[in-house]
Amino acid sequence: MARVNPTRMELTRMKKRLSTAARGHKLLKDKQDEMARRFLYYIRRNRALRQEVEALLSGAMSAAALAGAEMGEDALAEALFLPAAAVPAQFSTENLMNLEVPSITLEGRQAGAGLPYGPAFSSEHLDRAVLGMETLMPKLLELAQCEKICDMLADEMERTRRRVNALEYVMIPDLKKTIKSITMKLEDNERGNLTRLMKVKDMMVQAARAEIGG
Amino acid sequence: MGKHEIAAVGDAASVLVFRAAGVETVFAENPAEAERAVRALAAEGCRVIFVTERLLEQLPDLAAHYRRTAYPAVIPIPGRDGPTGYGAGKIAENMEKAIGTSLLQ
Repeated sequence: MARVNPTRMELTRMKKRLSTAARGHKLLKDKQDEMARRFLYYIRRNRALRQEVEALLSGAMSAAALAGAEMGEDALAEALFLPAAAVPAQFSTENLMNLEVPSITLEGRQAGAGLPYGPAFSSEHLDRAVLGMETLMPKLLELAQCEKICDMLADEMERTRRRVNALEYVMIPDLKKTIKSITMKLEDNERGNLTRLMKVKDMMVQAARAEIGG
Repeated sequence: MGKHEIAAVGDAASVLVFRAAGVETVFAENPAEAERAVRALAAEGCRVIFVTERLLEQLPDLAAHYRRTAYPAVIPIPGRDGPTGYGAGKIAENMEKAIGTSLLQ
């Protein structure tokens, strides 16, 4: 508990701080609730997407491995040597609970972008891997966005929880204690004053009586 | 901004398929190579970097470093030999960090 002068001015100041702290606590608590709601939505999505992507990606990769075995590693590397058309994605950010989170949108479908190599020397497994990747790409980008949002939200929620706890268990009780001690001290002074006044009055009355009587 | 906005880092057998989808691929056989590749790509302005789980799980500092900003997003992907559980573990970790317990089990 902070040591402060037990004065009325200090008391008013402390009361003001307490009401600010209480309001801040309530706001942070609301923020926490809302973040938890959104976080649950994104984490569920994240999990579903990850499971889906993991299954599909393993499929594409093993198809590519089969292709490599069939065509030879060199021929495979050669077939994929020329990069395909870049993924037409737009990267921007949006504001989520005051966090700058990524927002990735795919522009148009690259439907039938086709294979980036000639079919003559390549294996059918490779075709499957490549086409699989093409359908997988939107999901991969969505996963990236979702997972990043989850990362950022989780960090922010941890920070908010610390703040809420600091307010709830340290700052607010401390202020309440200080206010109480100042009030007690002031009341004590007041009582001291009162008895002193009564005593003085008694003495004055007695002095006056003695003067009249004598 | 560099010309590549999406990249994949990992062993050749795992990330080669990404090249077919129009993704920049960088081959890395060990964590040190992967770290160098990711940092270089991030410096170039790459937005999304997929890294194979096997490599990323040995680079906790790297993953933590790119956690705070919207971009680049460093995302673990399963390698050729299937998921190692790192990506799923990351979700549970986030859950615990945010809520205090893991609800989705």
